[in-house]
Amino acid sequence: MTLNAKAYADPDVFERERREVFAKAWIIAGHIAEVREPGDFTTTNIAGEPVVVVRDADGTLRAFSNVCRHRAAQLATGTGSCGKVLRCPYHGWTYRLDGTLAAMPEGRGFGEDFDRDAVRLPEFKVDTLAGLVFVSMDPEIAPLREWFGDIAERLESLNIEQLVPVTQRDWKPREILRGIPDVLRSRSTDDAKALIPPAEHGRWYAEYDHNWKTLSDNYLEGYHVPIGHPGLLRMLDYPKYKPTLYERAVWIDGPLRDNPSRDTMERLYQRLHRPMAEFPAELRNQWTYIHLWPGQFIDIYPESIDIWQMQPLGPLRTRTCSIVFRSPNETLQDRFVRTINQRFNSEVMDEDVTLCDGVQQGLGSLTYTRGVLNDNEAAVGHFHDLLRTAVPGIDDAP
Amino acid sequence: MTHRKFGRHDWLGLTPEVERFGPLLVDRIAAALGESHDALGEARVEELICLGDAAAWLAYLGALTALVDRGAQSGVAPVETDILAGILRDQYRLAPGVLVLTEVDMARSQHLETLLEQR
Repeated sequence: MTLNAKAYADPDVFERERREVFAKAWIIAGHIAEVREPGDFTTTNIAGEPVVVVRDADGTLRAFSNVCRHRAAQLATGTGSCGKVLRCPYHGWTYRLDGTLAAMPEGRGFGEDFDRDAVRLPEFKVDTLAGLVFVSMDPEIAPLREWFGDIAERLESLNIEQLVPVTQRDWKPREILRGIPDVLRSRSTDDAKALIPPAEHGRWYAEYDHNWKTLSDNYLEGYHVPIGHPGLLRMLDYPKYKPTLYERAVWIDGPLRDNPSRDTMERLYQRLHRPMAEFPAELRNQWTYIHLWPGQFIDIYPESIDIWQMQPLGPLRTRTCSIVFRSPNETLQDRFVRTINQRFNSEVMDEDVTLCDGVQQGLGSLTYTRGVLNDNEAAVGHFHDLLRTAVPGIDDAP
Repeated sequence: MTHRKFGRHDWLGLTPEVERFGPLLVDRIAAALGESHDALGEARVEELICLGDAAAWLAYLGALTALVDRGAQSGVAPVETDILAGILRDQYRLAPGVLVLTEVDMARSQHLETLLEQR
């Protein structure tokens, strides 16, 4: 059975999920390439907590609350290098890369009783796996690899470490169009530009009026594909669409069909796509989807790998953060194929958002409490069981 | 170490505490030492804020550090010397957030840390 529908709108459940689910999980903060050198940092948000990951002068990766202890301003934004210190952009409080307060402007104005040596940024656990930087706010959490169990090894096999995050500068629609005369005949530059959402420091953000579990449930099952995504059904060999459950993860194999699609764009993708050199051989003729507990998803395409994370803002409001990785040796054709994929999957996402709009309203119904799950929805059941364990009583909402 | 890119005017964020307390402390320490302090006083701070740059500010901090040193060695105006040393130490601690310190600046910074630890 599914979770109680009330769990998808209840403010108390939302607050417990922040503390018991997101604050007690290992959450992806970025790519290892973003924090390669001392002073390099990347930022994220976990359970509503702004987090900064920085490589200190000794080369150690550290994660801190990205909240100035003075007046709660965010110390760092996006990704970049902070040099030798983290300096608050609001009043200039300056922290060493070990999280201690170095000094604050006009320090004598805080009085002699103020113990500046006692001020330090709360520190969180940080580790890396498969080229990704993970952070946990839970000091008692199991080590990263142990926590994710057997799927850790499969993640390592994806070679994400060898890829580079896509930034806005990577998107060059004019260049793509110039290189592909066929497309130039059929599409305007404005159309191509419209394919490309704005990126901030290699991250793409979106917000939805859905509970984060509504979006997650939708990702986790292929049962709705034939009904909700006709285009995807033409691409994916649906009978072979298969989820494998792990302790805190799901791995979904989505083999691509051999027969060409009737749709021009889909057929173009089928004809032109070729796997990145870094791509694991066994996944070359499929799209693969991974769910990492609690709300992080990895789409593995032959020409790119996308990470999509849930950042719940409220019971009925969710921000999602996407990071796209490409080969460092991407050619013009590869980039074009990636753009087609981007457009195709944007349409799939639009279809999903419409479906989730309806589901979220339905979950507020006076006459619906919970539903049954098909075999093809096993990953949803697994997800709900993990939630029942992490948030005892989540099903007991009146 | 990768350096962040600093704004050309970021260093101005360092100046308020020096502007507020520096001239008076300089007056007292220099007077106790029997020195002239025209090049370090209020007018100089204002000139630096209005017309100066990061390098000139660091040079000014260097001159103040030398004054602190002379005060500490001679033992005159110990309270004022300690306060100014503390202000300067904070300047050097804050500085990496707004500009790049030279080796000489870093040596001054370390010298002030040591001086204050000993007192």
